[in-house]
Amino acid sequence: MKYAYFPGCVALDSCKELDLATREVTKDLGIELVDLPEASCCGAGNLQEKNPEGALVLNARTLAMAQEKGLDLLTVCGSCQLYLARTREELEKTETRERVNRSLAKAGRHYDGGTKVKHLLQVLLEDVGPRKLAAHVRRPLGNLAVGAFYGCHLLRAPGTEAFENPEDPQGIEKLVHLLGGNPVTYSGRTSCCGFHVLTVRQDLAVRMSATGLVEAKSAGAQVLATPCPLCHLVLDVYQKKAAKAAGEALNVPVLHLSQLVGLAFGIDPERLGLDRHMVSVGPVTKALEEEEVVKA
Amino acid sequence: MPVPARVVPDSPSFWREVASTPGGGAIAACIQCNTCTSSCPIEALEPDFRIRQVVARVRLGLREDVLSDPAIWSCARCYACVAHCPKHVRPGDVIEALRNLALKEGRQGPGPRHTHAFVESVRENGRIHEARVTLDSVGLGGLLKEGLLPLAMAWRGKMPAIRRRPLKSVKEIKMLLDDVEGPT
Repeated sequence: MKYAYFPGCVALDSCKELDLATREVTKDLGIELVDLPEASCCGAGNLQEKNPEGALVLNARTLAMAQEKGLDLLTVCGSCQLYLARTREELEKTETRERVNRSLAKAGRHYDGGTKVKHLLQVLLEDVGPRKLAAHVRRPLGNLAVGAFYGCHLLRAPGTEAFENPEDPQGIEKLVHLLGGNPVTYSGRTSCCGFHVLTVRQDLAVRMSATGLVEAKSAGAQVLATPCPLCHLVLDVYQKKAAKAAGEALNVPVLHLSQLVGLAFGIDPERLGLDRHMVSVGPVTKALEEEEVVKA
Repeated sequence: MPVPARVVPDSPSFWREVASTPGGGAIAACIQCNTCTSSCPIEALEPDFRIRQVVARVRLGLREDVLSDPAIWSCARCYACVAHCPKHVRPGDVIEALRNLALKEGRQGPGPRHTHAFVESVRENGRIHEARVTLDSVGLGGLLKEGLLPLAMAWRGKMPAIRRRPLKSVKEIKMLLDDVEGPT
């Protein structure tokens, strides 16, 4: 199994632990990640609203880079997944693809269409599959109560409906089961973290994330797992503010999906960047220490 | 929020302008059913932002009223409205079209400021230099308001890089962006 790896900007900057953990987990599973060191930002909606054609061209450039290597694209961010998958869909229209290719030609690039954009969650559930995934679990999550926090963009990305019901997603819960854990369901698991208004209206983002966090906590979640580093940023970095807005203590650690998988695979927490969180992940690793080691 | 009494339709063809801007193409199909507003997570928190009313105001020709409204910058791009609209109007994408028009006219405010900071970062680096985008979006004053948060982030190793790390191919990125839009 081999993919062109698109970590996106945040997994290479403030959420380096996501990149670290993803590399650890894919290595464990024998998945080869081929870097695209010159791939650009997906635009995250900002470039799209300022220069929509430019955003289309840059994302087409990324798809072309994956295509040159004959690989599908692997993302680990909800927003990257959404905007790249939207571009992919747009470029399946011959007319749009020809127009965009006229721009790309000026950089000596070309995109033929057909490259798939897959988020890690889909790759784990479909390409790796339940049997292989379960076979790699060395430290089952056991009684750890894991809540999913899906984030909007993965669910809204074209193509997600092929493996997930966007209105009632089950992928992360399925994954937690396969990792030998105990998924907690709560209504806020599909709520919006507010990241995309964070710099403009922090008050809104904090209150939005507070809603999800409070619901997770009251449903008994000891930890959240998210497929999006942008959700992670709001839920983790701004959690103190969310707690203040909610008027109650929260202390809910927020793991990246790769970190949760890595923990169940028995990978050393340090190599998963678990120390790089604002809300301490200590209680989670401690709870896992008490679980039985299944195999070496 | 009721439309203020003094607002007058200043551009009866505004909806056509929006319809020909990327994201706004399906605005004519809206039946004002309010599914978008009911799906919107901002609805409960922000009385000034009602996505159905934004669409209605566009179609009433209230160009200045809509484009000058800071509320169009409160959308969190969750696209719940896009997923649920029975007429496939893509209201969240209509917001994108409105922001595009507001930016083209050089309108100011925290929203445009953030978008400019972000886009500049992509042009200059090929990807996001988070520290700089944050600083340029909220200013030093905004950063200081965070108190000890940046320090706490640095302590946890969660501080974004201070130095920018542009892609080797950043000239190509700039050329492609300017080629379709013209230099900014």
